[in-house]
Amino acid sequence: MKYVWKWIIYGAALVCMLPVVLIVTGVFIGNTELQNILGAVVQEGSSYATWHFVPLYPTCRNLLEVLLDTPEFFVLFWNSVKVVGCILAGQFVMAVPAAWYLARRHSRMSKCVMLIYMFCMLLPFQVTMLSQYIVLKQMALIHTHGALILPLVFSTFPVFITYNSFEQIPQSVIDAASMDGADRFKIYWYIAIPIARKGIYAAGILGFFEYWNMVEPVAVFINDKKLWMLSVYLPDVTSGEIGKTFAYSLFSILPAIYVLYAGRNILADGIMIKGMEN
Amino acid sequence: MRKKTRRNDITRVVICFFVILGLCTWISRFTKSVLTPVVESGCPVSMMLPHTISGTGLLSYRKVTPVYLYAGILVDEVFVTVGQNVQKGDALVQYNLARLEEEKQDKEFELEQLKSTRSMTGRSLEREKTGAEIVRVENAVKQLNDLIEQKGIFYADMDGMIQVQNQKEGDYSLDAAAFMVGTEGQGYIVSMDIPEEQRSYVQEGDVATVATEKAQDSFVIDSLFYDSEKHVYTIQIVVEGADYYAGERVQVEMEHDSRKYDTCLPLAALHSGGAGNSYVLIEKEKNTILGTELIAEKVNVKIEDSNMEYAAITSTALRTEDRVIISSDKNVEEGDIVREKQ
Repeated sequence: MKYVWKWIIYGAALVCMLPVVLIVTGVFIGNTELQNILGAVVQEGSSYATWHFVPLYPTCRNLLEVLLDTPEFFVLFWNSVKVVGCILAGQFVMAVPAAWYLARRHSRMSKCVMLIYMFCMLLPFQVTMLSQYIVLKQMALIHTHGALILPLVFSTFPVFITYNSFEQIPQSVIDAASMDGADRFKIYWYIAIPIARKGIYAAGILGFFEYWNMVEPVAVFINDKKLWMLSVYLPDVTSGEIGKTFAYSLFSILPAIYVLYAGRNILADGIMIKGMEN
Repeated sequence: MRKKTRRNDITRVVICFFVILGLCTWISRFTKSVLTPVVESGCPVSMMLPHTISGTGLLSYRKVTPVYLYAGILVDEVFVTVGQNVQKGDALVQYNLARLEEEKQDKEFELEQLKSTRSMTGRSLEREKTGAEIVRVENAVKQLNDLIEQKGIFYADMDGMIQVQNQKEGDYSLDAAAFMVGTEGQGYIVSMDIPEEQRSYVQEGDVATVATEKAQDSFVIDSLFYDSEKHVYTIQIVVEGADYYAGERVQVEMEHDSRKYDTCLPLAALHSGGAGNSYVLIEKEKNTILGTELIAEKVNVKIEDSNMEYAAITSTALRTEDRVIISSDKNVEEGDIVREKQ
């Protein structure tokens, strides 16, 4: 029975992995072959699409085209890097101190603010979209990267994640530092952040996944194509460039896969709410 | 220690990733820069199209004298052709000698009859009429005698150039002038044929440049008429000067401005769309991921008029502020991204 469950889980994992497998194999299939097997889906047809897990005529053309002959891809890539980098840096400046303050305040007011934060976190983008648009337009940030960065710098999600990490820090550690002459900033910088770093990393990693793949804010707030991010761009599939689409998708998910791989342990530890050792 | 090594590995991978993508960014930009056609463009202009017609014309005398033959006799040979200079005494045609003899006998018989008729006629009016007829026939007999003495050859009685030849070999000699001989005294006429399609570019009163090896002058086009035999239009220009001589071939060049057209483009901007259709490619700004790029867009046009450099066109879709692609360093098709030459 144990083995049955094991294989069921492996099977389910494999099914979940199928889109990635399709992307990886699709990169090495030529456009003509892709047209033949996906033509029914890409164009209007009555037949069914098929798939070759092993390409009939493997080619690296799609990879090379995206890497060497598609400057559009790199414009979007660097836009994504810029926006995500700025958001995460902004959150480190704004959200982490906020979480520290709220975690150590222990007042009714701070708990109330935390409750409001949690409520805001539950609001989907569609609900806040209009108010955000009006505010951003008044600030002349619409159709600029500022429209994407500014609202997310003040996102409640990293505050919520790092709040728990800061809350785990024993009061005795802070008191000891205070008795040793450390002021508030030193306690925050040299004591709180190192202790809660896994929580901060976890917030950063989760934030990276969310912002790297965000679609709605880009589609709503950015009109100028040259300011788009990778997440909203797909090459023209119908014009015989399906292979390029697969290569583009592969390069789009590579950073996310690596971040997940590199931060897998931190992510597990950081999200976990556990008791701190003194 | 192990954690530190792992952190270094992550940092190294991230740096390598960014370096590789940075390099690829540069290469892809360079590739695009090399592969994008660099074009020269211009807006349509309003202008008159100058049409230049050039060709070779023949100089002939302006003053012409008709040459009449004895009519109704078979002509065996014509010794001259149009454009040929003749001098007094040069042979022009050869009559059929036997026919001349027959004609002479007929005329002599007619003369005998006329004379006997006159002797029998009493009324003075009829006598006068018959007398005049006798004189006419006597002249004819004299003419025929002269021709028979000259063995049937008719000679030119003046210097000049054969400018018109109506008499043909094997035909009977004409009542009308057999030849028109041009002579000196009133200058020259340049005659030049122009094809029917160029007719609209020339009109009487236009100025033409006439050039010989020695001289070049401008003269006004005197006449323009249709030659129904050759199916061409012929222009005639009166020229005067000491540097011209009859029979000489001269270079004639005429320039005529068309009416003013609103939309004119260099011929290089026009493309053939097959089946007699033409189109131009205009630059259209498009907001793309790489910023504002220029896309080649096809606009169908109709050619109204053209010369060697420009064409006047009409199109409902072409605006005066549109920039039309005139030349490119690579082949440009509709939808291609292009760059303006700096």
